[in-house]
Amino acid sequence: MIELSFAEIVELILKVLIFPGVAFPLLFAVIVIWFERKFLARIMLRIGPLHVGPFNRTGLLQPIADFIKLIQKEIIVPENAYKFLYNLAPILAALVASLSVAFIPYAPKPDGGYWVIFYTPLSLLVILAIFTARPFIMVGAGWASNSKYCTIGALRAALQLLAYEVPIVLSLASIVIMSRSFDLSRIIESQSSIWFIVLQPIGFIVILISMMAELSRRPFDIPVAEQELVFGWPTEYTGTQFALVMVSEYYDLCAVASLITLFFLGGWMGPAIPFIPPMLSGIIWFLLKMAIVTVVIIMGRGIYPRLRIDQLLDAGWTVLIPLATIQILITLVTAQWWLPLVGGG
Amino acid sequence: MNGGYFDSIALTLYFVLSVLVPISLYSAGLLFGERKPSKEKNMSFECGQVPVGKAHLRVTVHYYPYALIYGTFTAFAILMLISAPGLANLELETMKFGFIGLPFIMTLVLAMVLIAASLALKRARLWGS
Repeated sequence: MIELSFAEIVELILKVLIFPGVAFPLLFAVIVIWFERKFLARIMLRIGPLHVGPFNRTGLLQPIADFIKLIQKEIIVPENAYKFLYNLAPILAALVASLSVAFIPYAPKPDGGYWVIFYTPLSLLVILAIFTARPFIMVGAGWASNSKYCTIGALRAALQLLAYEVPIVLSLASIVIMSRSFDLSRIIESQSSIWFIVLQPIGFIVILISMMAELSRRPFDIPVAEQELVFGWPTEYTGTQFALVMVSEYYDLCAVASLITLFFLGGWMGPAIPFIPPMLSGIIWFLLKMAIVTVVIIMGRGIYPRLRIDQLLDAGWTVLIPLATIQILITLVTAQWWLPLVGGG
Repeated sequence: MNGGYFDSIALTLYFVLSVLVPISLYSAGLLFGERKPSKEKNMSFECGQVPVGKAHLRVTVHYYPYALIYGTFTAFAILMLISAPGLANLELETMKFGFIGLPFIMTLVLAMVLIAASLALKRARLWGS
């Protein structure tokens, strides 16, 4: 029989329901959708969301108003679609996107453990496996819609996501060479004296670019290019199904921002904040760095034009993969110099 | 500390909840949404034109080379990732003998991958277009 103490039950509820569990990615999605609209509006010299919400001219509650509107809309299934797969795909997309958060450690606990839903020493491999499942859902949704725009969008998504998985895996290899572990919390702890962004600047650029491509965000939003494909693979989705697709996109953004923070920016590492327990200050540092990464990723949407598909694929195969390989070579050749700097192991 | 059944309970709960959230959203849409289907509404979207024929295009052969390069490079990437945790120490061990062993071997493997990829591309060009 399983017996849990009161403290353990409280920890379980906090972890699963609030942070980093169900509420955190949802809240992240709501805040980032609002921030993105406001931020892009300022870049384009507009005002953005204006009327909904408490403070004057902020439009704070606009995403929630949009969501309520979407619930009232009809869920339309096109007549030629494969209904089961078509209805299943948005649910699966949201599920897969939210799963990766369960394996990311957000802070060290006082008792020597980590603030993570499920601890495993192979968490990096688990996260990679979860990321690999995403193209299949996109292709499945595009194929099941049985609409021309959706099919073309799905094909492009598959090409793009496959092309950019290889540089991601290669740059992660050079990180694992440095931290000597697949354990995400170990990777953070090995950055205790120096962050990996200093030791591996090439790897950081490669990961940032390929993660943006994996998320299909603006310079790389070829699978959902509005001017060519209406909305790409989710074109036919309406109402809450569309809301689920959008939310899953921002869940992915949450996971990617956490991962970049964790791989290169030292995760929870940072000077102790006075009058705040170390675990909480770790979480605060993590969220601050995550916010900066999110802003950088969002900014691409406002300031870059979209690439063509052939430019994108060529850049992936002929620039990013060689760069990632060069980073591995540099990491190996300079092993004797960085080994004393890297903790853990 | 982490580990044991405590983490498993947490993961199971989280999984169940992350299945329930999208399903409840979807059913909320079914419950509160309009339901007035019509023939025009259920057509697939083609900017106002009546869709003709099936939408399942055939994948052109131009994409085939990409699949081939993907295969070769993924093998290389997975090899690197899986062997990565031990590579730094192995490199130090080989340094003792006075030569840089691992980068040399890695370049060799990479050269093989590149040759394989270029052969595949040549083959595919003969095949395609």
